[in-house]
Amino acid sequence: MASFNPTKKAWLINLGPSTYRLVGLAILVAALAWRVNDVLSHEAYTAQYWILQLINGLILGGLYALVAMGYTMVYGILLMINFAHGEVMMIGGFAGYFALTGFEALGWTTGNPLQSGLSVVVAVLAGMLASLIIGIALERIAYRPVRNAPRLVPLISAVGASFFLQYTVLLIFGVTPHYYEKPAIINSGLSVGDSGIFISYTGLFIFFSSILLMIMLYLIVQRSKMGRAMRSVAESKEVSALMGVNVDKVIVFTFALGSVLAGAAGVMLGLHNTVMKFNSGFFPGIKAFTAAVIGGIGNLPGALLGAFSLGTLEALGPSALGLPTEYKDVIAFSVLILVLVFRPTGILGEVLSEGKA
Amino acid sequence: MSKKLFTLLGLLTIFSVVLAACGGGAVVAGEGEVVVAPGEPIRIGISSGLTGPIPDLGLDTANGAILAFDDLNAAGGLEGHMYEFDLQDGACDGDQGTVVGNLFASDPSIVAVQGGLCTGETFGLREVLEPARIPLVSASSTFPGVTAPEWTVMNRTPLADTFQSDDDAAYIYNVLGITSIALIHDSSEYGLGLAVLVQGSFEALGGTVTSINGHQVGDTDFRTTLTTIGTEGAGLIFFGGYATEAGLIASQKNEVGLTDVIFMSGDGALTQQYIDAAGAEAEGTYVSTGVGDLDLDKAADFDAKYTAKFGNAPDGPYHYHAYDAIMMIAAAIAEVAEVQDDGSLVIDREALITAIRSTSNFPGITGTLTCTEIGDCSAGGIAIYVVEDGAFVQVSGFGMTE
Amino acid sequence: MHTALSGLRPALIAFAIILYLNLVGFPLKFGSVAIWVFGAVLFLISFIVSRRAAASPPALILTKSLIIGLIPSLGLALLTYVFAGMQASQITIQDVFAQILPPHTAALTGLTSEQVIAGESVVPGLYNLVLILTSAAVLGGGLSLLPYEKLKSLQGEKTQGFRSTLPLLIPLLLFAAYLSLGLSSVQLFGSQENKFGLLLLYVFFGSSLYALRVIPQGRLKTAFLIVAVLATIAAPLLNDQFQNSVLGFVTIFIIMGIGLNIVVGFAGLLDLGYVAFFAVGAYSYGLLSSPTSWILVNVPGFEGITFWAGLPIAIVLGLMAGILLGVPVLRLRGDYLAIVTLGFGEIIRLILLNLREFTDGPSGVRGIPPPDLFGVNLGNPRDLLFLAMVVAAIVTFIALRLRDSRIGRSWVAMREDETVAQAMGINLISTKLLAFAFGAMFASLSGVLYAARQVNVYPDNFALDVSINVLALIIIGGIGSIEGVVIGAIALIGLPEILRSVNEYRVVAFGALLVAMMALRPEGLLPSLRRKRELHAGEQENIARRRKVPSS
Repeated sequence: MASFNPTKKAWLINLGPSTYRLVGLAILVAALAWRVNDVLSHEAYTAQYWILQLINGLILGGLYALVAMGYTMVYGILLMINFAHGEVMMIGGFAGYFALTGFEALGWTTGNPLQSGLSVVVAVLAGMLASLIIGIALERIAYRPVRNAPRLVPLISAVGASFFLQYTVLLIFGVTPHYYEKPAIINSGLSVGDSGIFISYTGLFIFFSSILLMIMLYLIVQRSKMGRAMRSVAESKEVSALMGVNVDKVIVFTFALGSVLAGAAGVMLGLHNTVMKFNSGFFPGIKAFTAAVIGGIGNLPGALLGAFSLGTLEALGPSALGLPTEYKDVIAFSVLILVLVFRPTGILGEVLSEGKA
Repeated sequence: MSKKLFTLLGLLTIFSVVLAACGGGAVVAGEGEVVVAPGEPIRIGISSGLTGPIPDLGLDTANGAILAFDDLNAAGGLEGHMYEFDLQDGACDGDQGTVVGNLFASDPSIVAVQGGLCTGETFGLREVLEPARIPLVSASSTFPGVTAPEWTVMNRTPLADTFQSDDDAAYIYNVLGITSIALIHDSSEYGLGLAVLVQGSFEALGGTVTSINGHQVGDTDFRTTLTTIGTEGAGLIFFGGYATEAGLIASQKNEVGLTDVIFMSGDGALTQQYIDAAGAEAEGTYVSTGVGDLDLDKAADFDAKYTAKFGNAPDGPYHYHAYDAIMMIAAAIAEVAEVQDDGSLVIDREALITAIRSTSNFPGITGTLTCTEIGDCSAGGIAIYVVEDGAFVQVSGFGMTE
Repeated sequence: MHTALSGLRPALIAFAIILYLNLVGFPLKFGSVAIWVFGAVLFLISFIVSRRAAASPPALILTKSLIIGLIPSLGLALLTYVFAGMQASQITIQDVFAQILPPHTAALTGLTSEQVIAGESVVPGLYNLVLILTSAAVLGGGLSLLPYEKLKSLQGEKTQGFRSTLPLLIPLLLFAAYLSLGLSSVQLFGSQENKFGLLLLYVFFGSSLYALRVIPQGRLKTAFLIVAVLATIAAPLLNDQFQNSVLGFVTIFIIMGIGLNIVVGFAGLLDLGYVAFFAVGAYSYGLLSSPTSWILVNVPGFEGITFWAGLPIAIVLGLMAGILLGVPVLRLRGDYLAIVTLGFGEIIRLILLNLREFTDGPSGVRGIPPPDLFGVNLGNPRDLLFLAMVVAAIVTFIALRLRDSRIGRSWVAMREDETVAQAMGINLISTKLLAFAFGAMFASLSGVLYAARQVNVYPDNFALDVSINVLALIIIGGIGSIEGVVIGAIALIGLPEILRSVNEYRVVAFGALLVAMMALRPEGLLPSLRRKRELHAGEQENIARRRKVPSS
């Protein structure tokens, strides 16, 4: 080792902003295009098939988006990965389940449209409320004490909180998965003429609410007074404090906003996939974070864009590349790596100053 | 003061070296026999996956085994010795299987082990218990390779998956008249194993398998896969995996418009949970399992005791098998145990291994059990159920009058 | 607020804790012992709260502790009363709260579960419950009134000399206690003896490392070091199979921890997919040696490699995998790096799982041969532990040398500030790649040991939780510190094996421990001295800053 001198010039390759990456990108695109073309010339997929898969992908993307927005906001302000965000979502899903079970006992979920519609709304609100409480408690207990510590410290605290929440739910509510009964009003879908294209109401609900909520959030952050305070805290906690911003309050507000979204996502996930169990939040949480990073973390429209791209790629990728569906996660994570290699701050990410990334 | 410490250090060093010399080599477990002192219980280990991917099946199987101890002790135990279990969590994986195996092997009072919920866990246990000469009876590892001639301690009470795949394929091809099927598995050793076996059996009959797609235990959205399968024109989807995923596939299949495609799954899905997960969409779907030649009186008695003890009805395919595994072990112990004058029991490990392997015509809940020379001790055959009005109704297979 | 009502807040916190312990099933798991656990919680809370307000009049303190006792115990009693009523009328509560079964209620009320189901009155039992819990809280408040300051100062004078030798004596006494367990005349713990012995060993290792840190340089330290090393070598000879198997597992994680410590602790590159390299090691040896692997079956005449050939191959492959991951992520920092490495780890696992023709998918690689040395089969827990210990010693030596070398200092500089490091003439590319390569190499080595030990390896052995475990253990132990890795591995990998009987609470306790630890002692149990200084300097600065700017 003694002979090795790290101050010498680069000895492997120099990945500067040079032609290397462009060449790599070109080769990659060409290879993928060839592969897709090859697959499509063998497989007879109809246009209807691609539309169906696109719908599947957009719904999946909508779910990711609802969670990813919470990740992205917290990251934007605190520069920390809220690893327990998926669990906040899962707890919302449980609250929604119990609310729905209550309505089921009353016979409302299968009752007239007003009753069953009301039960859905109340279930979503219950999920939001539960997630709100957990999210705020999480910030107070697990994150505030370590807010000024080096970056690994809050991350580990978040990992700890994630395990704690998962297994607390396991112990209190049991290992058996909890199965949602879809209320009558959303237990069907929309058929587009005779084309065989079908969209479930839960899917529509997820897709449109994710876009709507993104716009709302964007307006809150860009237009409201609190939003201005959030952006200022994101720039610098110290300076914001000097300018009279209540930093604690802003951070709690951010967590509350993200958690409410996650709660809604939890109930929607439950209604769509009809199952909720203690680890239901973990993997979707990781995927949503991946989506947020692909889109450019800290950027709300980026989270939405990243989530829809990821969802669509997961749905269309395996068929387009001629792989069995078990490779969908490989595709998702490879896309993440590729995006970051070519755009290290994500698709819509700003080029952050040195200290920030 | 420093001098005193040096003396102390020196003394301790000598002490430890002496002890090390005396104690060295006192590690080898089992001198070929277990001696149960008077008044001491006969200890049997249980390894089940109480955590991991399928903790509900793990608990159900462990509870089945625990119930056997109540019955054995209510009957007075053996020569004044009660039976005692040592339940350990094998977590349904190979790592914990190895740890639990070593735990049992290092405990000289463990006579035999019931367990290995999952295949990996059983392999981990088997690896350690074979050299330790502790017999092992699994109540749920249906993977074909679990029993083999070189594993002298390894036995099991359920049927291997090979039987299931043959019967399922024949039922699909001959009775349902379907010639092309699509397979989905959950990438678990059991799920993929079963799917591949069904593929083999079905193709041997002349059918076609349009595709084989994988998911993972814990996945909840199967629409993408099902949409792809929709383009393939298969008449039936067979899923190798566990109840939750099976139920979700059964219900999401209809959502993507495959209402005409029949759904079928294996023994991992034969629980109330499957019906809960699929809801109304479970109607008309098929589930197969290896059933014993069930002794209905004993089974009813078992169910009542189980509900009284654990607060819920048994739910899963393997609790009877676990009960039978313990009863089979106990019968073999009773056969080889020698009572000494002072009331202690001496159990020869090799004799016990042989006794369990040579079990024949043992009356269990799952039928009359006889072990083959490689340790398959199951009775009965494969039964196929259809879901009607939220309950499993047998339509074919073992126990039906043709 | 010096009124009795200020006891309300701690009372509610106490109630929350007891409610939590109740719902996660303590009474069901531990029977009536749970009541004493609850009592201990109330005692502690009441004691701590009262100590903080020690200046208040005793009557007020006692009233406060009465409130702290009464509110939680009455709340618990009320809840149990409701649950008992529901259970008596055959309502299944376990559909919602899985742990609330009749035996649970029975344990709290001193009845049997049959009596609970039959609807027998639980009120007398609940009176007892309230009485016990409230007296525990009042006792806590009462004991807080004792004059501890005086006691402490008295003790301090007397035991000054004794204290300095204590760190030295404790490990030796622990080891002596461990040795005495091996005597056939000592039969204290029945079948739990091996677990207790293991616990003594753990504390012995931990306290020895602590002692080595606090004893001043000199002959005494050298002597202690020699004794401790001898004891460590003697332990596997005295252990039984279970103890050696657990220690072997711990040692494998120590090797991995030392590797990840280079990446995260020295170089500051947050790697959440470290398990990928562990998998590379395990699978490379497995696929090249297992008689049922694709390679051995399809390559005619190839008989498979031995363990000793597997080691260098795994080192080279691990190195290559480290560079393979390192090159694309060179430009990424911090959390971006974390998510990319996480993705990389998952990709490796999924490929092992799905590339079935080659890896046999979920069936894993089976029948991997154990190492043998001159014809002696080393495939038993004791020899495998020795082997792992040798590897761990070598790896530790390399890591220590690296830390103090020029590269080590480049890593630290890069961790602190990449821009400045670059300006000082450090080549970031090669420095980063070297960190990844060394980390990957060590993980790959431990993978080979793991494969040889497990005989069968499956893709599921290489899931995300292994990465998180290794990261957590180096952080709990003290990031950047080699002794910390040992302590962390013992605490996170070794301890749970002793506490198997309360396994269901393991992960919850682990999570709570991580959160508490980060808040109270973020530098870890045995921090590297440099790190400790940094963290505490930061804290002081923050406190100072907060004082200056009354922001909230």
